[in-house]
Amino acid sequence: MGPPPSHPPPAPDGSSGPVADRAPQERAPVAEAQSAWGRPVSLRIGEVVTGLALVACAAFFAWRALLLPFGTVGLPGPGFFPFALAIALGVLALAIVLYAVREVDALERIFLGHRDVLVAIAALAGVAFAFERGDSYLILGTFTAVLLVTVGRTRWWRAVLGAGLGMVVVWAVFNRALGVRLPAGQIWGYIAGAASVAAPF
Amino acid sequence: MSAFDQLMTGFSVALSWKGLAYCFIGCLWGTIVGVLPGLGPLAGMVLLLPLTFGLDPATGIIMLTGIFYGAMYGGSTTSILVRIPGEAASVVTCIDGYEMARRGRAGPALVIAALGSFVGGTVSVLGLMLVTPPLASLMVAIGPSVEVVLMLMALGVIAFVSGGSRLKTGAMIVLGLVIGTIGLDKLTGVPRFTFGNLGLADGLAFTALAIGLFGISEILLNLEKSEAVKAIQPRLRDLVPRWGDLKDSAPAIGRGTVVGFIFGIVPGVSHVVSTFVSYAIEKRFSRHPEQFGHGAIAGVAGPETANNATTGTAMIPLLGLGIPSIPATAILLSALTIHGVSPGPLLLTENPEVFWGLVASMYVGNVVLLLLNLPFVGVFVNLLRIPYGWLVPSILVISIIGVYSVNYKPADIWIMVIAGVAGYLLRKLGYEMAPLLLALVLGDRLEEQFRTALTMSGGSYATFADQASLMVIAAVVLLLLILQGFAWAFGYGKTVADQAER
Repeated sequence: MGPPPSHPPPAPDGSSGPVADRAPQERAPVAEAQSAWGRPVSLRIGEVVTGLALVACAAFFAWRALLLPFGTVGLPGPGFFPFALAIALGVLALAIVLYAVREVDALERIFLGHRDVLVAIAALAGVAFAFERGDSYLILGTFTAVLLVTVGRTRWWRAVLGAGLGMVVVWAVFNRALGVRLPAGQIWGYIAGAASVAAPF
Repeated sequence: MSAFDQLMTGFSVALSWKGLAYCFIGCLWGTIVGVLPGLGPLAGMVLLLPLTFGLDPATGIIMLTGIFYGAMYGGSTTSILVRIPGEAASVVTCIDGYEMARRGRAGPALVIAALGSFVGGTVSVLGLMLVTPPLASLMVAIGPSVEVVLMLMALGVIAFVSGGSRLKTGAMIVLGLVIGTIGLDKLTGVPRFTFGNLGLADGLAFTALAIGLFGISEILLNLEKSEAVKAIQPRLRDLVPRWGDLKDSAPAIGRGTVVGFIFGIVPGVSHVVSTFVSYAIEKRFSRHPEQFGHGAIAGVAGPETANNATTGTAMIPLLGLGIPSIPATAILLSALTIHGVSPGPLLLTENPEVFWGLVASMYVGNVVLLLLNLPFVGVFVNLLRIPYGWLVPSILVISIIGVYSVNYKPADIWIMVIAGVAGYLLRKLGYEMAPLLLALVLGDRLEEQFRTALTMSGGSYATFADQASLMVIAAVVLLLLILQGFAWAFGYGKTVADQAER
């Protein structure tokens, strides 16, 4: 494995917020550097999409709240409070959308899709999917090794060694010291089944 | 039993081997998360929250609180040596702390910051001890309508003082309240938004949401800005401050304590605001204001004292009223609730060992932190040399196991991942997660008290505008106006913010 690829330089103010927050003369180099790693997305579109997602969320909660006993305005039932909140959320979300459309500069950009971020999210989703299906130590060990190689830019054998040692520490701290029982998973059942079938041969 | 006897009982909890051990672990982890840029006290507390489930309530809270004030200590180290604030409350320390370090005076800056933190932290615990019991007694006497008003005022103030867009903060508060309604209705037992899933009867797992929104989103944001850190290494023999340093710092520490204690009561961002106000005051009182920005030791002593002094005051609303005013105390509230302890007016009578154990542990913890931070500052600085990409897997593994160990449900890991991605995207767009978390914690109680108040008043909304409620509103507004006037009078918001920006 070659030398680790260099990361984009940090934002001048150390922030990861909208590029628009920075001085105009600083935007261009930051944008160029970050574009190698992330996809530039219009801040306005981002704001509108988020606002609309909040509107959808509000509409969903308002609709479901209406299906609950509503009570009266004076003596509210279980549906009253969520309904009132959903309406408030909807109003605020619409205001956010309107503000974004009218006030946010269409040329302002944020960067999404950084390689390491995407890898970390995919690895986390993989763990969530496989945690009880496979052996948890095996899954967490693989997760650690993958992240050490991809995000930590470590050589694979060091990553495997590090992950193995890490799992021993995890077992000692969580299982032995704190009594947290992590799932052995179905994988060992399959292996035991396969072994018992293969045993007569 | 007198307060002194109860404090002694508290010391017996805090000085037991278990209390000391977990106080030490909390302080150590707090210092580490304070030192590491991008991992603040909140993420540090959230990550270790599941570890407290196997402990008794007093010990668990002692550990979590240790992380809270430990991070305040640790945050100054990176501000002074690297010019990277370990957490938000240490931004101001960068201005003069780093200038001192550049001029070969990192040692005195670190020592004065630690001493100031110790004084501020210890005095604020004294305030916590004296103010909380009478406040709790007062709270017992007030009804649910006043409680609703207090909670709404707290959320309103957070929206008002929040640094970002008030519209977005408002939306996050309401979203937090909406999410808080998921699960069984506390008053009638009717399931809401559960879709027949029994796993949702208690609502969305708070730990998974909190770790996702704060811990995971923070890590994802930090992955975008990995950078090499070059720290100034102080020598042990250079740590001793000169007599002149102590003389210049003493009044600043005194003023910082008062400022931190007073501003600690402001919900939301008290620990950050107090440092800016303290810096502005020091500059105004200084005989050499031109030295500020060029390595004035009072510019380190005041703000560092102030941010630690807020830790004690921030606990007063939680322990006396049961209302968290900042996200860190929301985590403590959640931890107490999980342990079956109700924070608020009844805490002192029903679980005095938790309150007094916590108070005593904060005295002990401040000593532990002083001993940890002075001789081992070099060790903590070396933490900055570990590439962030190596730390990420460890932090994520702890998060995953922590979330899973609460209910032993893999669905909670999904909630954490989804909340993490949502938090990451929202933060990229300038939304703050702290108001959402506070609203999520308060939501349940707000609705319960709101409906109880209406039931008790026969459906009259005038109950929220009775004499007691109006007095609370007037008192809060008056307090905020005084603090705002105080802050403006000393130039907060202009010069200090400009310097911090530079």
